Amino acid sequence: MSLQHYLVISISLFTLGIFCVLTRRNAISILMGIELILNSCNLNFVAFSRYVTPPDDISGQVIALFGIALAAAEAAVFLAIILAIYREFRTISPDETDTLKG
Amino acid sequence: MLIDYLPILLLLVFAVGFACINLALTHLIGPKNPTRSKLSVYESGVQPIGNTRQRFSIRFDLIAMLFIIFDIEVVFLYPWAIVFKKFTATSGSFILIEMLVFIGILFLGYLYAWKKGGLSWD
Amino acid sequence: MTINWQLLMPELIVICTFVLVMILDLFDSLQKSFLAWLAIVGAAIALYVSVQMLGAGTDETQFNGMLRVDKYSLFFNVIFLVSTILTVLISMSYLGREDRRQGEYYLLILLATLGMMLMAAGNELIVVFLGLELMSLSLYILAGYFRRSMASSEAGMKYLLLGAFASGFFLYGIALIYGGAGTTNVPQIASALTADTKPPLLLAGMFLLVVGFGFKVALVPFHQWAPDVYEGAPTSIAAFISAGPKAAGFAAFFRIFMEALQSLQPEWIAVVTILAVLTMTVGNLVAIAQRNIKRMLAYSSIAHAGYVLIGLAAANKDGISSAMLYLLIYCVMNIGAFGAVILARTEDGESLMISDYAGLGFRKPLLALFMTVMLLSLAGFPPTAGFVGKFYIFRSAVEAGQIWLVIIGAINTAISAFYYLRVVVTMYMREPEEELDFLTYPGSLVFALVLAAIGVLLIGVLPSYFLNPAQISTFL
Repeated sequence: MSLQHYLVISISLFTLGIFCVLTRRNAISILMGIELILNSCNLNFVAFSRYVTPPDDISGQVIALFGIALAAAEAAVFLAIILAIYREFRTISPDETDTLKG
Repeated sequence: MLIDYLPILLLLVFAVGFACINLALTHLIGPKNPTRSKLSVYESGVQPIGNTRQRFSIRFDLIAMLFIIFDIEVVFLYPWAIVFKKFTATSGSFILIEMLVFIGILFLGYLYAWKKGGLSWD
Repeated sequence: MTINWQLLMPELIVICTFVLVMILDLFDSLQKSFLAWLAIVGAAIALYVSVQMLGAGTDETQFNGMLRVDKYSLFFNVIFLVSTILTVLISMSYLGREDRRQGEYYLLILLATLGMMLMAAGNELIVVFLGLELMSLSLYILAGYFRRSMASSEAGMKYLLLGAFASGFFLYGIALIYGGAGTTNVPQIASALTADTKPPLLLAGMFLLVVGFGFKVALVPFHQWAPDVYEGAPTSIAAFISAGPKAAGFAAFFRIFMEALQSLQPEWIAVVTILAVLTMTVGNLVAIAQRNIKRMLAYSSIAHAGYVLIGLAAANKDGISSAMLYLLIYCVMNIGAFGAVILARTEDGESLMISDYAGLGFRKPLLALFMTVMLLSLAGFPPTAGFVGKFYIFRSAVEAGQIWLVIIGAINTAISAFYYLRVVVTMYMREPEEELDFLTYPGSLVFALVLAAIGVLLIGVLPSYFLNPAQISTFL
């Protein structure tokens, strides 16, 4: 395994995440896409920390931990808002919850 | 040499002893009132056999969200624990207090969620 | 490791205020407006300390170079805290006395302020990112604060979806820069990069950062969320989102691009120039078509981000300092304009259609006066602060040789005058179609508007008192 392998996996995850965000019509699936993107970033951090920086420098791994905690916080806030949306609109598709227009 | 492993032995004895004594105590002095559901296999309150695609009450979501938040905060303890040893000689107490402040703020958040009714069922 | 606690005073005061408000919020017997005043007092003390430290010329790094408390970050602290105080003041009457949940509203505002302060002081990309997320997560909840309102919930969801998406880009950009430079520390990235080595990883990372910042400060073409969120969110929160967070985004934008990525200047100046032109032009042109005043102000705030970007495109000391002054002015006048919108309330809620403002000039002279001052300042007429801000921005761009950018900016200012003045004309020249019963003026809101109006006129009349601090506060 070399750095390239990790980077290829990471960029694939990133692209899949973007694809998921742009094509899915369900807010929960979009959230999953965003989580994919954040995890691809974490993978990058860990891989660079292993291959680029000196071995005793673990800052990249610590950043990945911050990334994980952040994704969880984002998910919690997101689910709360989704619930509020569902109570008002009876759907969680961003296409159908579109009352704000110019 | 072997004396270095004494703390581990003590920990083992304590852990096993704690579990055994507790089990024995509940067995001896706890009231016994067996019902059908109490005797069934323990699966965290869920029916062990049946369709897995059942729906849960939406009221679980608040508890689930709080769980995610407080559960994930533990990851910050890992890097802290790794570097703690390195700094015990120079500024150990400061680093310990730092983590206690972090946990204190978390605890405050927990109290806030509790008092605001985030944990109550109704 | 020694920590100089005095350097962290503004942040610590905000944290302590946050904890205090949080504890007091648990007591139901307490008047909720007391919490608001507590938040204001805490922010005011932090503001006072920041100004003192700014005067003393502090410049030190803390936490192994993770935070840099210098005049630059302190100047931005002033902007954030002024925005926070004004926002809380305009929120108090807007939320209403009977709102039992408003404790968390003030808590989230304080938390967002803390995030912004970390962004401005962040000397490490990851600190900037954590500050950004602290700010954004608080704002997502605030945008959806009115749970029972479809518009507010929808605004919260849209803001969160696009904001989280942008955060992903931002984090990926940081990851690539980390890979290219081997560090996330701003000065170390700068020294790892020399003019003749331009690793492709860093270039890609830079573009991703531009996209991330572009979303956060609403630059065209990453602006689509802004009008919907501003329209749906509570008006006081729309004011807040348009002010402090935008300034915080630019604070980090300037620091990272001018310091860490300095050797990539030829590349990013081209990108920033294009974004500035697009942002100004699209923002102003679309604003003309708006009938809803909140949407109009949303597009106007997009256009203003374009003007600020001219300062970065100039890429010199004057450009940054005039952009800092512009952000201060912009925050005051924009919160003032949204405050005037809150002032125009009827029994049914707010009057958000521009046509509702017909005849207000004579029936509600005070409201119309406030609105007129803020709109004239947004349009950039002398002797208001808006003129001063635009003047210095354009001057710095001329000095940097970006003549075309200045010409486009001037044309845009002329376009923007059209839609700002249209509201003024509606207020003073048109007869109302129907009589609307406006509510009485709440004291705290009028107080905030008086403060904002004084600020706008003071900076307009005595610009050097505000420009000089900005000029000595750049990190360059």
